[in-house]
Amino acid sequence: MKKRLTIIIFCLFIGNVQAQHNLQLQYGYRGGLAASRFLPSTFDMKEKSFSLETNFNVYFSNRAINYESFRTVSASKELSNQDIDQFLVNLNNRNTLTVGQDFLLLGVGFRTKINKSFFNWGVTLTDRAAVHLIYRKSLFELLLRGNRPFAGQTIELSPELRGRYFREIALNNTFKIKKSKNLGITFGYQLKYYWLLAGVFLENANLDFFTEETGRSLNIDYDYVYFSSGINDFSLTNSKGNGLGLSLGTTFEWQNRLAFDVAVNDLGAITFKKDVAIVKDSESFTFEGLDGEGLKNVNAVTDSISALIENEEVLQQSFRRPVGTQLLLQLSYQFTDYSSKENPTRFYLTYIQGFNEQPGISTNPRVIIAAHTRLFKSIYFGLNTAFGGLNPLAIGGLVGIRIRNLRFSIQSDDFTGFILPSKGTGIGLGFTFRYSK
Amino acid sequence: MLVSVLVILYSCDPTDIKLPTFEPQYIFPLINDQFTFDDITFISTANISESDDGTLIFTHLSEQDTLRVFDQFDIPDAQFDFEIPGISGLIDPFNFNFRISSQDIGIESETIPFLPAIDFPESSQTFNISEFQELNIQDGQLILRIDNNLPIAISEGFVIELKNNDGTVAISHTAQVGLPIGSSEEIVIDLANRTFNFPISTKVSNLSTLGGSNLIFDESSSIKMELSFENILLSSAIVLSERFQVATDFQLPIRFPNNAFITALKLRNASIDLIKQSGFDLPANLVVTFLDGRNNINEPLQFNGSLNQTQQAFDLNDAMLRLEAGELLNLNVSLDLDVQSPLRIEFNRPFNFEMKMSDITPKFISGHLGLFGGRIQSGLEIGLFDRIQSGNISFDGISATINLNHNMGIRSAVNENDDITFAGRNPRLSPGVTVDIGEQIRGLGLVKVSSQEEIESTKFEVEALDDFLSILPSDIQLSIPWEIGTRFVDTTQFLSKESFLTGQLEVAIPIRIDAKELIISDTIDFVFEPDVSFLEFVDGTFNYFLSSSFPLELKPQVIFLDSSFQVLDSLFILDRTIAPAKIVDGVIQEPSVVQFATNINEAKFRNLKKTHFAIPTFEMSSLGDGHISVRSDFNIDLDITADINTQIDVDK
Repeated sequence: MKKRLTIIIFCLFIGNVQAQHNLQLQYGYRGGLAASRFLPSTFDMKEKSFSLETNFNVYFSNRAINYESFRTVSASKELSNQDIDQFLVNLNNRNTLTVGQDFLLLGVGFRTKINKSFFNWGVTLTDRAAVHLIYRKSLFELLLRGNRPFAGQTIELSPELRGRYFREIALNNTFKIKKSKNLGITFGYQLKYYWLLAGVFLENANLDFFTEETGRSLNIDYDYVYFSSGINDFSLTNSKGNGLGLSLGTTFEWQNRLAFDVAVNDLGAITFKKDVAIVKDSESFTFEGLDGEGLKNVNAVTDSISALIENEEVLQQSFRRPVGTQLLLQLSYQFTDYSSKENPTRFYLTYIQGFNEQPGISTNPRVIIAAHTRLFKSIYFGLNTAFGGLNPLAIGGLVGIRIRNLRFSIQSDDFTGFILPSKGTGIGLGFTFRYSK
Repeated sequence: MLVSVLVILYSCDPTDIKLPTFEPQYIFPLINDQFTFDDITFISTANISESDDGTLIFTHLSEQDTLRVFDQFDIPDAQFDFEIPGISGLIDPFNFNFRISSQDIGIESETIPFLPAIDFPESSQTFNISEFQELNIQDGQLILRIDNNLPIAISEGFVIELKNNDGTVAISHTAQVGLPIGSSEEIVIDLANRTFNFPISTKVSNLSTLGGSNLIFDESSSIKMELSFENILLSSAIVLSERFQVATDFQLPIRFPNNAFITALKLRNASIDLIKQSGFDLPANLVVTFLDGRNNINEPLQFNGSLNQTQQAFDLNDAMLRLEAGELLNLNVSLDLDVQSPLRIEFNRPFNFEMKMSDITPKFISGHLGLFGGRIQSGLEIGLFDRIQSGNISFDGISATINLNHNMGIRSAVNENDDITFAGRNPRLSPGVTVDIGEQIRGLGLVKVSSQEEIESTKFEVEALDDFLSILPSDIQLSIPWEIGTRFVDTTQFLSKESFLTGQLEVAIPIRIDAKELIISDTIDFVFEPDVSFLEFVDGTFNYFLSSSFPLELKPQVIFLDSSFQVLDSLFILDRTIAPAKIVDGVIQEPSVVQFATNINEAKFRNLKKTHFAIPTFEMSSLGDGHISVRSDFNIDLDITADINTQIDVDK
């Protein structure tokens, strides 16, 4: 019991994560196939004619406990009531936990020339998995402080859960639509086919708990609809559904120094068709104490409690969810012209806005500033700081090396805790391998 | 994802981290009980009426018991013996004559100067009786008379024989003396146990005369013999008869119970057994006719049987019988011998029968039924209060009505000589307590006779009921005596199969009570111990909320018991008193509302952990004297909540 409770408390308090965007990949590998996932029009083979890429990224962060506290607790092996209180203070009424990974299994890029114009082509195969849990602060307050502080109040306990795992096959293409001395405009798009493996959704669920002011009644109201697919018969090779998607982007470049990227990602929807379960229920249960009917009344209570856990399975063969569309706006400036002989340094200002809550996608806006440079023509280094969204502060970075046509880097969207322990509340980690010729 | 988990687990194993002791506070309802008037009592509002003065009156009908009166009128079996007369065995005297004349020996009418001794030749003659072939004589005499009309004397030694048809000698007589001229002799022979086969022949032999002279013979000169059978009583006989009939009338008495005088019986069914007690075999039919009976198709009611069978059964289904003098069935029994001559009749074995009429089930009965009765066994749930544990309560002016309903068209009554009895037990009181009652109501003068086919109601004030109602019985067995019929002969009465009698008791109880320390309680399944090892009780409060609209003073308490109903603890240490609700003209003006808080320390909590039952109780008492009218909207609302502080120590 202790182990379970401790892990639950620990994970939920630290696991408050916003949607992640593999930022340093985007900044450190600008022009690369993997990096262009969020900004399709930035895909540019430049003088290279062929590339192979792979990238792995996991994201996990929290809001309620900073890394310093985490280290303190780890060292002392003890959580105090003050810690718990602080955790609760730090929590919003509605908190999101997202755990996910994007794994670019293989990306192949190449360039063609048609009518004196270059076209960049790329094909990627990516596994995308994410679980998105929204939980209420009041749930922990109820568990840890009891219902007495809530007498006379209705507290919302309803969780939301979205999780999905799918395989994405994308065709990337960019080409310049205008090229002048000062201004270059590049248009890019990605056509995507989604191959679904599993999904679980508990959305718009309501779970309200009311304690009458004098404690003379307790009431629970709830309603939910639960969708799942691929849970009972999960397989990495059997599709449970499919979908089509489209990403569009345009890059404006001024004198090859200043660039403005705009992109709309993941327009499209996915439909789960196999191993589908849809369950819904709606109940209201009030307990006012045992009365004189004795066992008869106890049975009535038991029946009501049974009704709480009984539900109605809806026979429906499929359900559809949006992939999760995002708008990205990015302004960047490079201090030197692009040249393999130079060590370019580039600054970024990025704005991200999601349009719907989906695993890995958030509707909270996010602003990131970043800088990236190359040292000694073969060592890459980058830093970024993200504000807004669910994370007050996320400092990330990238370290990489190039040896001839091979380039390898390790990047993190958030390692704030390692440099500012009292501010760091999350972690993200990834690596990228690229071969280009 | 795997990497991040590894990072966390590498940095810190969550299971090694000591969690603090949490101190959650909980508030939740424990008991929500209502003691409404309807809940406290078994009385449904449908049984409540309001009298002129505003008093609520609870009227309760007992279970209705129905019986078919017909089933109570049991007709006994009837039985009698009879003997078929007319074959007595006494037969009329009869005789045979024969004559031996002088011409038989060749002497004409003349005077013979000298006649020597003469031996007559043997002489035989045959005689017959047409009705008989054989006679076995039990008693009687044969008289042989001989007249000597010859002019000479007959010598002794002559022999007279009677021979049967088969040649055997039935009777032989040898004269020991002679017969002088003109003399007669009469010889009597006992015929007991003698048998004669017909035709009978007579033989006279060794007849002789002495000689003589100057003998004058004429036409009358002869020897005359006469055989007379007299006083003959037959033991049996073989009769030569073409047909004979014997018939006689009998009366079969049926003794009805209750001095009933029944003029007619319409039978659903009945069986008649005819048992032959004695009698010889005779191939004759026996015909029994009910002279005043008709069968189901309205024909004369009779049945035919064989005279030779020892027992025969007959049905009298759907027969209609009329009885003479209220109890006698007129029967005619006849024997009809049709063929089979010669026929052996055994006069010393008369026909004797026993006739038994049994299983008589009537469809209806006409006539004077007499008085008969029984008891209607019924049930009554008259427990007023469900949750009363003890105390005294009395009621004002209870009355009871006995309802008898019948459709017999005859008089009925509650038996004036018997008592209405009540007996019951009350297992509904608090666990383990039962109350037995037994009560009789005597001398109530309940006789109410009517010939109407309407509900008979007899209302009476019952003070005795008050005694047992005061101890609040629940299930009462009720026994109402009933009587039906009249003491005087009234032949217009009848009983039919649709004659039902129903009875029930109606009790009216004005709900005006005077309560003294009347304890109302309720037993609630109650478990207070949390089923988690890491959650510990620290302290807390039980909050007691009560609202009462009863115009009675209340002393509340809650008793906590373990699984074997042993008292563990109570909620209140000191007595608490709740004032009566303010009632004006029967309307609740202001209910009594109170709130008590009881601290639950650790010691009390230890007791409560063993609780399996909680019993909220109220000791109710009237203030002042006199009865208080109770209304159906009176109630007590009770809420008990727990407001507790706990500790969660997951290391435990």
